[in-house]
Amino acid sequence: MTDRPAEIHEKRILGTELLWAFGVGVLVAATLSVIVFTALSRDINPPSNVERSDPKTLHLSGEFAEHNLGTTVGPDGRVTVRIIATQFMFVPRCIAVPRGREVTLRFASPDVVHGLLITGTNVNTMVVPGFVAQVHTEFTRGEDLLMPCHEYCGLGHSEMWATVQVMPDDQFKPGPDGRVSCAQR
Amino acid sequence: MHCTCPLLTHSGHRTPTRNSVNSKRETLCSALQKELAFSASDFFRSSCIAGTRRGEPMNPSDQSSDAYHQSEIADEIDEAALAEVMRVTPLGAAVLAGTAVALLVLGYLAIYLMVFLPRGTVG
Repeated sequence: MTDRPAEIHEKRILGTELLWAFGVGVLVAATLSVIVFTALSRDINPPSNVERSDPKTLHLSGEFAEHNLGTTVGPDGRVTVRIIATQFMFVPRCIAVPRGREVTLRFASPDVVHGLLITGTNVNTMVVPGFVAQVHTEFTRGEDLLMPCHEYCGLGHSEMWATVQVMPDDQFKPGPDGRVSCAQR
Repeated sequence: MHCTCPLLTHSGHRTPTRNSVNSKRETLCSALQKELAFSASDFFRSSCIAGTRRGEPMNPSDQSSDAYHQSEIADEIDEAALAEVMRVTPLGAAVLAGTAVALLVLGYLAIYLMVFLPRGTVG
């Protein structure tokens, strides 16, 4: 039995649609593969950390007390930077980090939701009161980078920014207390 | 060119008993149509549509079309031309959509390779 022209047309359109669906499936699979490949081979992942903090006592005691803010090099050589994001400034306003070494950035907010990015890098996170935002990264270019707040936090939002000073390894020398500040350069 | 006039019986068919009456009314309709010209066409056409909505036949058997204007009468379907159109159209659609998606993927890859990866690790 021969198909009528209308049936031939419908089969042709159905064939085209199935081919297109297959192509879209391949594209989706390729995109997911790129994400997985990037995560496994280049260690690029969305920052993910669930750790609580108390906004009411943030600056009085514990990890984010004033004397503990800024860049610290631990006994094992790990570099940790602790920053408070508050209306309308980052404390401290300048942080020193080494070039070509892994750095852990830890942020906390005592008031409202803030956000930040560091220009020229993939560092980009929110800072939510009651939680510690943590980002691991490695700075590859030795220059001063801008770190603005990118989440509207009030009338002074546009004035809220800090500087990230990326130092060559020979200039990045911690003091006796293991701390490094921008003034060293 | 014909349309069911509101002055005629609902179906537009000419029954023997109503033939003479309808004939006079049809003449009156024609005169009315000419007088009102374009502005009236919508009214008569809506009457045709209303007749159809009532489930009554729009095209009596002795008429080929109810369209008021000649340009509204559908062309005869040329099967060969239709087959050609149906052969080419899916191909054209696929080429157009494929080109658009290919450009999108190229943009994504360009940003991924030239912007995202050089910015370094994060996690």
